[in-house]
Amino acid sequence: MNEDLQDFARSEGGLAAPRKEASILQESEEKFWDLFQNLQIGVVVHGPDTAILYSNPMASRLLGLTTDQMQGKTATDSAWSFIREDGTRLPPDEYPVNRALVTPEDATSGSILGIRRPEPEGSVWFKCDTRLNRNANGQLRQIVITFFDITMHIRAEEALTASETRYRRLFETAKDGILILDAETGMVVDVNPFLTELLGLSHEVFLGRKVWELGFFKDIAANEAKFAELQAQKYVRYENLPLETADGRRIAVEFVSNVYLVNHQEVIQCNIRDISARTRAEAEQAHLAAIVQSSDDAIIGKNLQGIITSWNAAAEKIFGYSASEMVGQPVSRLVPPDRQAEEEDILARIRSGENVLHYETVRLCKDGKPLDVSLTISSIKDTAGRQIGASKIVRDITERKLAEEKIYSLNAKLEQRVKERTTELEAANKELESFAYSVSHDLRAPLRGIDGWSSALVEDYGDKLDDQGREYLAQVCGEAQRMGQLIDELLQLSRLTRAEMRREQVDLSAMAHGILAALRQQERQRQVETVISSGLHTMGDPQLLQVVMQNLLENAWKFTGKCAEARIEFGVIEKGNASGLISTQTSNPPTTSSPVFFIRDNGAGFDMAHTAKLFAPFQRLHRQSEFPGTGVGLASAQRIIHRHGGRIWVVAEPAKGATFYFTLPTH
Amino acid sequence: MTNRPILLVEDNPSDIKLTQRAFAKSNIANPVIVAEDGQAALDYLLNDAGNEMPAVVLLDLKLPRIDGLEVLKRIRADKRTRLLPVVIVTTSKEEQDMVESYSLGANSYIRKPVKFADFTAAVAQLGVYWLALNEAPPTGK
Repeated sequence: MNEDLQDFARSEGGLAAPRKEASILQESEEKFWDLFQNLQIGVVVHGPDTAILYSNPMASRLLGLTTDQMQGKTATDSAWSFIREDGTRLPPDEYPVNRALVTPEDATSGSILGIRRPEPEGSVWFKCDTRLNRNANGQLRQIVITFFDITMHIRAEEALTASETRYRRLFETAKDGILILDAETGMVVDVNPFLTELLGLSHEVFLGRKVWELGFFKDIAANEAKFAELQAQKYVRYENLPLETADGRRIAVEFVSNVYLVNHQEVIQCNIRDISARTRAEAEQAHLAAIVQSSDDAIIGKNLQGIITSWNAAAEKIFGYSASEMVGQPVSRLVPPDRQAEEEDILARIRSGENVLHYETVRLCKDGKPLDVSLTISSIKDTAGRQIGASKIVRDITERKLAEEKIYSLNAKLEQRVKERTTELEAANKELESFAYSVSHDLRAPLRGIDGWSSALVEDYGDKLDDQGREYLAQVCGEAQRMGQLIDELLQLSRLTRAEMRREQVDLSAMAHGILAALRQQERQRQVETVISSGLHTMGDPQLLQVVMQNLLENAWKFTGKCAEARIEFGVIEKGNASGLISTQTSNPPTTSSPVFFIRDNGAGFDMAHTAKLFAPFQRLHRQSEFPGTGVGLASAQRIIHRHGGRIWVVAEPAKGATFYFTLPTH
Repeated sequence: MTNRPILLVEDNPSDIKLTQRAFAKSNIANPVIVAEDGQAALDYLLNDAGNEMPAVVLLDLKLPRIDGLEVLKRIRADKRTRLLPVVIVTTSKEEQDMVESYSLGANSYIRKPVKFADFTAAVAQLGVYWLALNEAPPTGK
């Protein structure tokens, strides 16, 4: 053993024994050498000039150089390539040997260095201690560098950091809220940004607070109790926990808490998921499902192969099959055998993207009864727009069909009845006509006889009768003639309602002129002032309107017969003015916007109390001896006005005259 | 003034007598042949041989068996009588009767008035017109 080695051994403290016997020394030296060679710490011993005196195998392994390669190398040798912890190259003046030389103390420890090795080994890391060995007079003899392999440790630390970074990132970017609590105290240790944003609270609000002290939990007591439960059970889950955000919004969250150990310390992790959107969607879906379920119409889902996929309550009610019986079954089960092709046709139309609306057909119930239905079928598409099936709304239209049939049959019955009535009416009209004909023909013949033979009696035997007898016979003739006149007027009245009506322009003013001129001609001795508004036209049947004008003007003429200053007026009240001009005592108030014609006289008039009788046939308000008449004229006038769709009414006062008003629709 | 007979087609006995009386009153002396229904009138004019053609036929419309319009139609259908003056004398004032009568070739249409004086005047005028004023068409015989 050379001197250097002895020095090194002495410096290590284990070999400080004095040289007593060579054999003991020899043995000790061999033991030391053996220990040195097998030491799991790399040892490199430099001389004062920094050249390596010797090194052990572990040093070779760590530094990547053989013992021979190291022998004699100095600290400045460029073969060294130490790196720092941060991966940068270590400058030569910071090499362990050089550092040891400049450090005031003889021993340093703890600097961590690495040596880059080619992959796959990667870098080797070690903790490096240095010690200067001096002789008795303090002269530097050796520099001892020891390398303790900490590669494993460094790698584990690196992995931990990487892992920590990864999980931190996960924590920071998670789309769930995460809350870390101290399991002992319930104090918040950490909170992720998602939760602070979700609740609108800053990070600081959470930290150091007990979880149930945080305002956003609705029921603090319950949560403290839950916390106890969590501590006991290590796991708590809330399905749907209501939270309130800083700005007062209510949100629903799913809240899951787990207790786990970190370095023998219990930690609680709370995962908080905002399920508001999901809850809303679920509520919406439930709402839609409820609508489908509560519909009166059967709503049936089917796929494009015609297999039933859903079956609502109304479908159960209408068809009698339960959902479990029908889901998975072909929809053709509902189709009567003679209509199978129809369902194929509908499916084809749906597959081609067409919708089927209000398709009226027949389907079969469970009990085999046919059912009148109206089908509305729409295709169902997935979110990508692909057709995946069809929804079928089936309306039971039995009631409607029944109602329709009822309406048809009622209509048919009604038509039949109208036909029958029309026939009856036609028959009645015919009968009336032949009756009128008979009356006209047969009733007059005896009258002619009465009159004729009375006249014959007067002519042939007049000399045998006294004046009274002749007077009586004159009465007989007069009555016969009067009856003849009555018959004639009755016939005329019946003709008015039977005759076909024409519709043309009629000049009422000209008509009035003509009628009054004729009346004046008959009674030239009378002085009557007539005032006729000119140019009054209307639409109607000229012959029938002639009868109206004739009757009304003849009446006016007749009833002014006893007037000293008779006045007859024909005119019109333009629409809109009618109500103002007519007394409230009208017999038949106007409700029309057509022009109102009037014929006014200042003659005998009558008491308005009797107007009800006025327009009825054969009703008279004056004695025959006063004003003769048959009572048919006004009845005829009213009938004609009514046939034209107009109205007629009268305003009168005894001894002051009467005004007859009438309207004739102009359309 | 012709002396040819007047054919009165009338079923009402009272009317027959009154007509005859009216002729008498009007000094019309022509023989009055009475047919009391349509068939009798046609028999006289068309079926029975040797009857003298009347100067005028006074034809009522409402008749038993064959009515007046049918009688008129057959008179006009036969070449022997198609020009024979036929005056409708009736109680009917129905427009339809008038129109049909004239359509079938009636020479005149007179409505019998109820008043006997008017009736007499009408018959007198008829006589004067058809027997004196009117030149009857030549008869087939």
